[in-house]
Amino acid sequence: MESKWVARQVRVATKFRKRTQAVSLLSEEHYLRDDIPCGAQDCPSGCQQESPPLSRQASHYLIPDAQAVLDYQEILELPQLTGVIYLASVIKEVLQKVNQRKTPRLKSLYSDRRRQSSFFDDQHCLYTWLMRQDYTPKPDHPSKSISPHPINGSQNRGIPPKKHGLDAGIQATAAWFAEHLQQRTLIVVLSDQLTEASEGVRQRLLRTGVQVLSGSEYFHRFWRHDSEVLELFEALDHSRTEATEALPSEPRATIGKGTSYPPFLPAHAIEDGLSDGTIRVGVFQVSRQAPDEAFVRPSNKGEASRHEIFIPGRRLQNRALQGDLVAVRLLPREQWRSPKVGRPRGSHVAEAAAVPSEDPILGPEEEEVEAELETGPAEAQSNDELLKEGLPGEGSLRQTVTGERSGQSNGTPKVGVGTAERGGMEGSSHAEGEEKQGERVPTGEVVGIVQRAARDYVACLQKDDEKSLGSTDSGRTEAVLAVPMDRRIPFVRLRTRQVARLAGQRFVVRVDGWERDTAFPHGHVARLVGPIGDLRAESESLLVENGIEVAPFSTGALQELPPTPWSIPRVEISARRDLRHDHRACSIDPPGSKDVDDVLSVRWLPDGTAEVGVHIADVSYFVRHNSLLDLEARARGTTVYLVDRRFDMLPKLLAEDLCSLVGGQDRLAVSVVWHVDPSGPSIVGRPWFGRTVIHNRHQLSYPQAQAILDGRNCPEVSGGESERGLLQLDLSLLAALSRALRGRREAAGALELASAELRFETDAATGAPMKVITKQELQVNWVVAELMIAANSAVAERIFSTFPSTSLLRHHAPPRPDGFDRLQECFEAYGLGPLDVSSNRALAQSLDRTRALDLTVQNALRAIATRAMSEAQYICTGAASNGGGLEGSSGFYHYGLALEFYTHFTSPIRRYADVLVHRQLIAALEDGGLRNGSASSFPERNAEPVRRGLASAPKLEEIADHLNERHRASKRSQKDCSELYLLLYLQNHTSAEKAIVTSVHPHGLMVFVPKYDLRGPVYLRDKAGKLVPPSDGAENGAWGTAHLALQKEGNSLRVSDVRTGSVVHSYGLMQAVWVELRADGSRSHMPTLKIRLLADSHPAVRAAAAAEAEADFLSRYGGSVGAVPRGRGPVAGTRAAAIAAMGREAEETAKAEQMKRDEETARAIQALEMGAAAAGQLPRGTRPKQRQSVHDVIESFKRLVIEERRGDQEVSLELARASTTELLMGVRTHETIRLRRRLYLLQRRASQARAKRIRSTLADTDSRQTRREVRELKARVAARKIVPVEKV
Amino acid sequence: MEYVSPEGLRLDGRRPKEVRQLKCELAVLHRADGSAYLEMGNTKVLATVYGPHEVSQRSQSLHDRALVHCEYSMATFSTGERRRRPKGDRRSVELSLVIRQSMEAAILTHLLPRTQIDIYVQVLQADGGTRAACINAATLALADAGVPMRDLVASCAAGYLNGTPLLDLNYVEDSAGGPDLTVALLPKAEKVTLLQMDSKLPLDTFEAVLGLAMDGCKAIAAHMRQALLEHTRKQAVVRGPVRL
Repeated sequence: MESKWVARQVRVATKFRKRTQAVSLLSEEHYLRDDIPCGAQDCPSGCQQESPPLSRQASHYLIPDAQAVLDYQEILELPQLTGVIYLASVIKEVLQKVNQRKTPRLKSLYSDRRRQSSFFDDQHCLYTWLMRQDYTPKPDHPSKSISPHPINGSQNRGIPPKKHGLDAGIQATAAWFAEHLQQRTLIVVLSDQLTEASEGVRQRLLRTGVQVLSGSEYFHRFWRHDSEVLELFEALDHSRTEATEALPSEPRATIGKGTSYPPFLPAHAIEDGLSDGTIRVGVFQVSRQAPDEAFVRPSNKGEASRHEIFIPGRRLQNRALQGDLVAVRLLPREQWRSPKVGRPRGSHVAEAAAVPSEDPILGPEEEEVEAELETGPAEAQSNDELLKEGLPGEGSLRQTVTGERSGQSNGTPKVGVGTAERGGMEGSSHAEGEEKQGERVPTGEVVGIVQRAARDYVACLQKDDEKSLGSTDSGRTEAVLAVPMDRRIPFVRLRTRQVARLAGQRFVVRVDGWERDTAFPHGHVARLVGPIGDLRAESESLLVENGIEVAPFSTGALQELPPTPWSIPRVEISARRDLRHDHRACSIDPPGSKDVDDVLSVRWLPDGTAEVGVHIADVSYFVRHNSLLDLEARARGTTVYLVDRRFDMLPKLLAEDLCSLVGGQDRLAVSVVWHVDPSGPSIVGRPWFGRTVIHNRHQLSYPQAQAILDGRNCPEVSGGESERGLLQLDLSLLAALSRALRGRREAAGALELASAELRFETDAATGAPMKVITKQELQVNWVVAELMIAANSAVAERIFSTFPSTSLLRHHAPPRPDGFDRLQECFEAYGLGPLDVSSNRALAQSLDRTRALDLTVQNALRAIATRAMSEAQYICTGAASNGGGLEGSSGFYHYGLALEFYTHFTSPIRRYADVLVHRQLIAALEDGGLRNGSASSFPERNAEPVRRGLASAPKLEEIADHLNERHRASKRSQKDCSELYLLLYLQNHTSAEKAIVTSVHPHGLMVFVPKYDLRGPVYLRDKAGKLVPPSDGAENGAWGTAHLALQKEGNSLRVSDVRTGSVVHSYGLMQAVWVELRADGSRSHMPTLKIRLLADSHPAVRAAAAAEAEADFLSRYGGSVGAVPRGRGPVAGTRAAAIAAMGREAEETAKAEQMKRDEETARAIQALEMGAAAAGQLPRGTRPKQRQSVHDVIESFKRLVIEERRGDQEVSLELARASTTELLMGVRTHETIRLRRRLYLLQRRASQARAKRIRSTLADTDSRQTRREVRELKARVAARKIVPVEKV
Repeated sequence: MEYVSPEGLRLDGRRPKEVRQLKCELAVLHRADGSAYLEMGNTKVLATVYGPHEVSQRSQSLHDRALVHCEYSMATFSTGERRRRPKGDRRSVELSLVIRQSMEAAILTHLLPRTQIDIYVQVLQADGGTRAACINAATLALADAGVPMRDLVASCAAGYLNGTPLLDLNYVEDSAGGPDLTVALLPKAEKVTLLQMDSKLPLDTFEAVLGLAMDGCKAIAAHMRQALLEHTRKQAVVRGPVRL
């Protein structure tokens, strides 16, 4: 225990205690040492250090001082800035000035090895201390600073910083560095604190090889070649000098006609208020529907309370932005207001933590939308209107807010929430007014901002701005307003020299601050994203909004890849278990996937039992712990799959070639092998784990594998018939095994929930979506999934047994019981009995009762159930929040899968967590081999590095949190991107869709569209209070011109005639309706989905209903081969035989015959189409050749909707028109084929649909009404002059 | 908060396995039979020993061994704010007991029947590791008083923060809330006379921390032995010319 410190010092520091408001003296001892490494590679003075970060080739090393770090932190975060030395004293000072949340960002500046920057502890280095004495100016110099280096760091806030001129400590350290490195590399000190008096110091330092530069000098001298750095510097510089100057040309945001924002309370006043209870702290959430209204949910020691404080209007909001942590003060009771838009029922919204957290599964926007259905769409003030209004303070607020605390707000006022039932509100919803009938809620004002939620926002310029300013190319600094894509953020003022560059583009904006006398916050442009409307730019904007970085891999990381061509080193083959020859391995993946990370194999033993193996790509062999590749993969966390692109976690070489277990190649893998008894089948004994070498004989896709399993011929499989037969045998064993495993899990309570995934086929040229594919579930999907689950579970158990306090597992907490209210209502509406949510088993059994229902309804119910689930998360078992792993493993149960231990192990190519689990497994095997004696007996070659590379519990906890967050961000952006593509698709391919009503509100319905797995509102009453009837293609809609009223009664919404009181139509819970999905949106914001009800008489509905009937018939009468989990599975089997087997009524048979004929004709037409396409003579219709912008598309879509309203007549007219072209061109154009087919189908279907409708209307109660309806119907038929096939 | 920087330096510049500066002085009070003043970093402790002398309360005397009595107190000015500490408060009673038990294990009590040995330990400045400093000071004072002992009792504290076992915690690290382990050791025989820990640790980490603490004890014992030898040599010179 040789102490290597050299000298000891006692320094006196002062400490400020908040609670007792006392300043106390601390005497701290500091030990000076001489063995602190300098951090430079190939140090000329011979420092002993392992892996020094500062590069040898750097042109200079930069030492910023505290103010420079604060000012230029964004520039320092750019990847180009390498070779920065952060001094301990500088970091300490920065940390005092900056809030807690920024600390990890600051730490990553020097701890992230990719930045090649080091942390130097100059407070404890003997030499720098000695040299500081030389540089500290003598006290008789009045102009220089006499205060010593702030090592005696004042932690109190009352004493102001005392810096004038360059700090002595930094000078000393810089001089020492220059000397230590023997002037090999230039040292640059970055400081803006230079005064004239420090000129002498600069000269002195220059002689020793140190340059002291100010910000602009440094960036202009050393970064002249890099425009990104220079631009960012300019932007930051501008925003900093903003407060001092005021440009004459500022159009809108000048000091308004009157008052400005109230000032924030000073920190001590806020603390007084906190201790009194008069001030509460919480996260500021802006309502999406009404951006001028906001709510704060005050938190109490990190747990959010159930009550909310309403903050309307910009004056009360006082410059708070969405996501900030603010201090709020309640207003006296007589000043309370009521919100325009209702709030969701308090019980549904998840308890938010004190710091802004991610959206829970029950997204707040869905709740808000539902709430808006309760109260009616609001005449919300958008930012445009606020613009005209100017600053707050005039007219819009009746009540003035007094500065002093009123006597009534002592103690904690009893906060009663009036948001429970807002059913009393009628449709009128005007802005303010005390005559409002809604209940008043606790209202407050923002008195201080505790922490700003600093985030990047994607924004663009306003259209009129662009027009007026776009012409000025003078390079003069202009002030413009940027419109953020997120409606909850107000406009941001920018000052830029290059407005022309920003016109028509989306760019990333960062907010710098918000002064009292300006209407909007000011910020600067960080970078450009791309042109507005460009599909790629839009998806990238979504990525930025969700916080996903899309930079390519760094050269350092790419250099760590093994050279190609690569083959398995011989030493690896001898060190691993060789499974290439005796295991028949095959992989089953989606068609076209190149990154194969899992392979299944079977080996039949002579005694009739078998060995079943799951082999996973051995990524941990290529990606070593803490290498640059490892750090990059960890930062990414997961591969992000967008509709058209994929952002890989690992470089392509690894993901698609070296790690990927491609067919026909030998590859390295980590395997789990079970000994299986085929009778059962059941697993015998414990699984074997270890590193192996495998040979993937058959790389199959899901359909191919299904074909083999079914016994059908599959020509792509190599090896011919015999091989196929053997494969079939293997697959059958795997299928049987997976069935057994699944059965066991279901008995334990596993849930089968809806998975929401849409896939799009995009056009190769434009990238626009052409087709929506819903995931098809084959039997083999289930087989593979079940085996992966089993492998994950086995590995989880294994690593937990060796590392009970540091293993990375996946935990799914049971859902909150109050999240099931909605599902409960639906169950009651369908008469399915009570919903039991006491355990996962009970829930699964309750959900099983839905199998008797229609498939659409089933999906709807399962989707609602999925939304009530909590999120599964990665956890570190040793973490304090999980009980430290000491009280047993009950804290890690996976609710959804009903497994005691679960982790992610099977996809290391696309998930970083799996790579960590691989490393832990290998390490566990080394230990386990000695303790249990049951694990692999093969020596671990890479034992030492792997063992050392395991993270400790706190680090692992940090990584787990980071991975959870990355996973959430990736899911959100995937969802946003697929929504974007869906909207784009919908405008090109409108059709009627079936939807189920999931909840009923006074102003409309919430429906669920199972085809796209969407939930959205349908407004039956618009902003003006007028009723919005379902569209039927005609002018007045389906309800006619009678005076109607809308009313909610219990679980249904009734439309009744005002005069007669009779019910025209009613919508009940879980009723099926037809809807039309439209895209709507402005230029600056993302398009949103609008759903409109369609009447049954709408032509699109008729077409869709017919198509659905056909599909339903096929699914009912088709057979299925193989045991498929009930309710799902492929539809196969010969139709003819099935039809023959049905001996139903003549009607049905006739229908069947008709359908068949229709099918054949349709197929014939299709063949023609395809033939024509193949002939290549098709003009490609009316599709524009150039890349369509999303917004043009929306515009054209709106036109199309209007066109759709024309009836069959128009269609025939068009057809006539098109036919002439056809005659002229002598060929069937695409257009004519389409129209022809449509007309044909419409005529065929019209009769059947009509007959069905009449039958349903007959079933209605009131006969008088029915007769009237029938008469109307007949009149309409006569008007349309369509000859029905069957006379009604 | 980071207690160990990424390069392995603690808040005060030590490495995780380094002990603070140890300064000892013997025979500081000449009225007492034995006394010692010990500084471990900023923790300053004064120990005095009276004895062996006749038992003050006849009823308590033991016929075959010496009675060891210990009293621990903290000066009112020892921590950041001046605070009055009542004599019999729970903490000082507990610490008195602890020190007594660990010293009793080392003193050869059977050589001094029917006598009493009083140890008084006073903390003058507390900066973490007071328990360990008290025991070390008591050892030196006993040695100064000439009480026969099996071996020196060396004591050291260790903890576990930021995933690293740390030796000899100071006040800031102590108040971080991590586990704090104090060990008193007879270094030659490697026998533990005191083992106290608060908070909890997984077993494998505990072994590492205990091992570290024991190493620290041995280092401290070496230092104390050196100090004792120095002192003895000085005494020898003072008392008259001695051939060494």
